[in-house]
Amino acid sequence: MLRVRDDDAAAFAELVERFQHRLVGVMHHLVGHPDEAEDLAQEVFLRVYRTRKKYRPRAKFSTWLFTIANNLALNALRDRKRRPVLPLEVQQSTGDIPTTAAAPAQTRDAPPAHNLQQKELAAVIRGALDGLNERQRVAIVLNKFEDMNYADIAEVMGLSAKAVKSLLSRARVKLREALQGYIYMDGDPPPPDPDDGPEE
Amino acid sequence: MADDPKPTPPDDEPDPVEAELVAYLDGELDPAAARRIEARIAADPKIRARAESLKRSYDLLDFLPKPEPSPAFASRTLDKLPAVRANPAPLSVTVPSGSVPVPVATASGTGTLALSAAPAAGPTGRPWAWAVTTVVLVAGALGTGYLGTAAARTYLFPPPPPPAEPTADNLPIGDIRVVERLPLYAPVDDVAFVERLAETDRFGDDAGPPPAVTVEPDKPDGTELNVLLKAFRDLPPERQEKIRHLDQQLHALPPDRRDRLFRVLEAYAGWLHRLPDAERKKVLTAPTTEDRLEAIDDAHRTQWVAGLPAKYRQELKAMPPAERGAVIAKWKAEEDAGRAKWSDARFHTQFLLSGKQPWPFTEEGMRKQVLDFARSAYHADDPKKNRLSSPDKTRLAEAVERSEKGGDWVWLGKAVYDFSLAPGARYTTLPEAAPGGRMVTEPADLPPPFQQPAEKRFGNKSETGPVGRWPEFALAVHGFREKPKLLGKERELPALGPCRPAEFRDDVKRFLPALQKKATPAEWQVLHDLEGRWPEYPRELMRLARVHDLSVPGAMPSGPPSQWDQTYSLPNPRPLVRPGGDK
Repeated sequence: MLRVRDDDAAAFAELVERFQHRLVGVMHHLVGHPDEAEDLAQEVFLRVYRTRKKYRPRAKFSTWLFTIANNLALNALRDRKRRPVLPLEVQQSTGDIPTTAAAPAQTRDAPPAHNLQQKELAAVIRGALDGLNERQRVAIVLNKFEDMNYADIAEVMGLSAKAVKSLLSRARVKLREALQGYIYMDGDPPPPDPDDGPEE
Repeated sequence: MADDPKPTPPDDEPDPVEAELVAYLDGELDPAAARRIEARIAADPKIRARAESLKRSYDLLDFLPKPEPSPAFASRTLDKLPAVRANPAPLSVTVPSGSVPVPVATASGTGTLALSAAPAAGPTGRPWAWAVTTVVLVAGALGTGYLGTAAARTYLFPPPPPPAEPTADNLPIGDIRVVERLPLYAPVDDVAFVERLAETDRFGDDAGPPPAVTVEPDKPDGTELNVLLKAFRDLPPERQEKIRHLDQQLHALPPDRRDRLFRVLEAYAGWLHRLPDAERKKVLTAPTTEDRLEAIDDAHRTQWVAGLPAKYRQELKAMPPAERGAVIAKWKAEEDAGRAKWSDARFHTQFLLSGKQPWPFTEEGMRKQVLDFARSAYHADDPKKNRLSSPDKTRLAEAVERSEKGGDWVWLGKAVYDFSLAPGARYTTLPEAAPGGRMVTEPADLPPPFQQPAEKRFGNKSETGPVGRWPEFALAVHGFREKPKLLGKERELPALGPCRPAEFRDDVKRFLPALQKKATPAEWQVLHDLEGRWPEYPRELMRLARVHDLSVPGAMPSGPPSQWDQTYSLPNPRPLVRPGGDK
């Protein structure tokens, strides 16, 4: 990154090459749409380039990259909230409304069909992610798919580690609510008699 | 499910147990806290079930397809970069620690900027503000000068904070470096001008030796960068192009030389900034490079006088104004002579004490080559062609004698260096023509229409004038090309010396491919474009050779110019034998 800061265009190409998979992946998980994810990832790289003079070696580059990604993604998601668009691949998602009630298979009263195909499962999980608020979603995606610890997430999102702990905790509880109909699909028995479990 | 077993806490307050469980699952608890929650999980099936469901629901996320960028993503992204040029070499300008000027508000609080030394990366200063101010001053001083009227207007009547103007965000990459260094480039003509600034009497001394520690200079950012950007955008396109060219030329130099020139530029920019308005205006609005250098020298003289001890200043004040000029010149000459003697003494003492011969005289072959050069370049033994002034002629003769008879070569090395290679060297030699080729050294060599005017202008001063001397005479005639009255009306003067590869003597012809190998294609193209123009072509050839540390046969003493600099430049003479150098 120091080379990019000093205007080495080849170094920038190398940087795009190296981080594109992670960044596009994260963006996709955040916004749920491949084209939009690529547009945003592209914009992140361009901003990295434009603001490269501000990069200080003391910051881990990926942290800096995802800080920019966080800002852009949050803006995009908030914009979308103002002008809802229907993601193409998740038909049941309305973007800002938790989707767990939209598909019968996702409600607690209608147990999932065991032959639910992976694709459909993915759509359900996607819907659960979409059900999180923007900041929860960012924290979850960074934690889950970037394996980021709380301190790094805090730095990326400009929060305290304590706030990240709260954010993730609420997000995880929300995800569990949304997905609890699917968590024992693999044949494992649910824990015995948990009065707060899904099979109650 | 009469009630929600795990009610979602208010947004700002998660269920503390869930929070601990999640943190535990994420490996974020300290060992003590982890042990506590493990104990609870082991003891309480409800807690265990909650942990389990948290984990499993999170694991489900692994079912999401792993999105991959489309194959064209990287290339599309790179295409969107503003005009990437893949060539710029990273620059690390070395800044003498503690000498970077930053603005400080004057005690009066009027906001007037004054300069003071401050650490380069001091935590409090805004190191580039002074430079931005310099650009503002440069622009403000001009109607038609460097920056043109548009830029002048911008700074005389600054617009409100930049709206949807171009910003650094959409600046072509190649220009970013140029804009960042605009404060240094704006008051400068070209590389040749920078080299003249680097002469000891101007800013060479101020630039000093390379600092022990290389400091990456702070770069202008935010508003400052945008101000510079706007200034650059407002320049006429041809001036923009010249500044880009200057930047490229500077960055094509070997790092040591480039860094030194940047230190000179910084010294010059800081000096300009401190200069009173009227004098600064004189420097900036000078119509030509020569006039500008003269204005700089004038201002330096004024400052020198102002810095004299009070006694001398009173003496000056007391004498009639008409006499002052001569007295000042005398004092200055005395000071210069004293300084030169002192430096010279220090320099030679080093060699005398060591008892060793300096580079390049440790080799027999090099001794002969330097001697040959000293004879052929100055023609001191030929009264008609002699180029040297009387004292220099004596100096060279003594040096040759010490070398040949006493085996003491340092005098010759220093004389040759001072005459031909040192900054501001008096006897620059331009490469010679093949036998029979054109090398104009007297009026009779010129086409008939020019002979009489040239005879009239230069002919009567054979003792001190340029007639008979190469390249002095040709350069003198060339200098008067712009003044047709002196050389006949509207006649095209022919080339006065060799200015195409085939026209040079054989050793120069053989040297050209070696130079081409080292030069960049762009540099070579510039040289090529000058073919047919004298003295532009040979001067560019000499410049390129210096840039790539090569010696032009017959025009420069043998050996890498940088090694001559390192061995013989004052006032910081280097050790006699470079580590790993001479045997």
